Amino acid sequence: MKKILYIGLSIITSFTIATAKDVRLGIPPKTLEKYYPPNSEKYEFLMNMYKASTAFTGLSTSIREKDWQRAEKWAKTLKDAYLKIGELVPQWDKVLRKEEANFLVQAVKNKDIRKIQFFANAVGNTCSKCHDRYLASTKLLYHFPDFDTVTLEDPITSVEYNVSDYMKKMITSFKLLNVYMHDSKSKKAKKEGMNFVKRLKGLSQMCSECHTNQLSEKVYFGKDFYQKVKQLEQSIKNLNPNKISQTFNWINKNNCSKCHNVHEVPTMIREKIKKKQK
Amino acid sequence: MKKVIFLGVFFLFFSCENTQKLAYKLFLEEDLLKRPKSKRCADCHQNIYNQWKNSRHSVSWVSDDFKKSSNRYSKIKCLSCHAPLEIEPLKEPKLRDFHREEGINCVSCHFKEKTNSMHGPYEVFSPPHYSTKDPNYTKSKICAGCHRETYKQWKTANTQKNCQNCHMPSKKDNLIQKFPFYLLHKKKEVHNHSSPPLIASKEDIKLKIKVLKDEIKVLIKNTGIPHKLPTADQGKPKLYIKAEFFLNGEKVDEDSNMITHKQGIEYNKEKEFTFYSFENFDLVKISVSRKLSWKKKAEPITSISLDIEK
Repeated sequence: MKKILYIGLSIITSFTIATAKDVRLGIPPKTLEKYYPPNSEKYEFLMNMYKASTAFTGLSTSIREKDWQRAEKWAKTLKDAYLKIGELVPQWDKVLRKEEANFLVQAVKNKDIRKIQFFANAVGNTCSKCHDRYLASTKLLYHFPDFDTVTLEDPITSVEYNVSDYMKKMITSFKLLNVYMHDSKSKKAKKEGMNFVKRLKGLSQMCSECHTNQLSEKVYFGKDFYQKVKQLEQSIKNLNPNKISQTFNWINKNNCSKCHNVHEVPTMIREKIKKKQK
Repeated sequence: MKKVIFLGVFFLFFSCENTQKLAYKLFLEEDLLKRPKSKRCADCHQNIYNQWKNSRHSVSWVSDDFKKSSNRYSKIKCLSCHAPLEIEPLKEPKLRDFHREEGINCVSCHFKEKTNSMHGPYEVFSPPHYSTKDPNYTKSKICAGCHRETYKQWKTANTQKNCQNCHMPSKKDNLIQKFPFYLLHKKKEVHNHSSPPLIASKEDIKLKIKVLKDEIKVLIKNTGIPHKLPTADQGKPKLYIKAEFFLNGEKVDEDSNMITHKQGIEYNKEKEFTFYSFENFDLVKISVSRKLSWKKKAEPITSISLDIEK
């Protein structure tokens, strides 16, 4: 009996542990902000990362080609870039394996392959550990565009809304179309349906806030989209629920979801990180 | 009489090439060729400076709209046109890393590193700085490094008018106001550096209305403005077309279409807009208005009313 209880408990416990697993992203120190726009246009931190990464490739290639003179040059460049991380972001200084970086240069000088491998791994491990923890969150915070400042003018009320409030307005129009249709209030249903269409078309205002060349806008608001919008208008005019739902689903699948998948998910994670960073 | 003699002697003296060279040597103010702030140019070009001060160009970097839309200067690809180092026809400028608060300032448009001189449409003798007559300044392409979309639209409009004709209207005046030097120059056609955005008039837009069941179609033709209505490369200018529906003198419904710069109405082309009303009506009033990017309110352009037997 005890055995069965024990097995049962272990299954429950292991299941709980398994489902309680979280994916964790480290929140990068605020200092990093200094090296990204609007505080800097030079991307100093990122440039230093590129420098270190190029030096790593230069080092391994030169060793493979037995070009020891250049290998030494790359080892020094790598060490300098690696140590500079601590200067740029003091909070990360303590995790650097500074001694190992120096020993790596020495090992290259001595052409000691075994030691080179050992110290390169030690240095490389700190890079990958840090990337594991901070790379995604850093990209989301400092590379991914901020939607906070994007506003759209509502074509019905001429009021300027932020993205999330505009979306709410738009989808409320669609819900009201369905509500009024259900309640046989046809004039109101048609009016709200047309408001929905206008707000849907009005979404195109958003793209050029970042996409200056209009190409991506054509993906979401191209010929097909406008054809379907015409169909939607027609089916709203005739209050044909099947046609409305068919056309809406097409637009949802081919337009809405594309943009949401690209922009909404990272934005949601970014917002969470930003809250924590505060 | 003395003044006339003085001027005559002065002109005679400086009309010969060698003496002009000497004048540049004597009167050259080196700092003018080191991209100074615009206030420095105002020492002589007071009127032009005052016009520029009132222009959108002068606030292109510091305007609240730009701060917001560039996400406090984070969108770096937007920056160079808002504080250009040096403009060139049809070429995106480089971003300046000083005096950015002045936006598109005097030297952004007039100073050229390769000639170490101020460029403009006229051959001028200007001892405080070297000057170069540059025919590009009388052509639309000088604006096209930044106003690329509007320039493309203007090109397809195939018109004689260029950007400067409408947006930098000229009048005969002195290029400089500093006494006594303005007396030494002939008056010229001086262009307005406040670069007024202008507004379309009734004559620029033709409206036609077709009435169908539950909807009206409005055909709009841009007959007067040789670029899209509205136009912009970025920003949020809008054109609004509003339909108001009346029954027995009472307004019963309204519907509107908002046109962004991406859906603008091309020159000499007709575009159709649909308005819906599911109410009974016997009169429809169509009005067109526009809102500039940096304005909060729309300004009326034209309107038309039509009696309907539905």
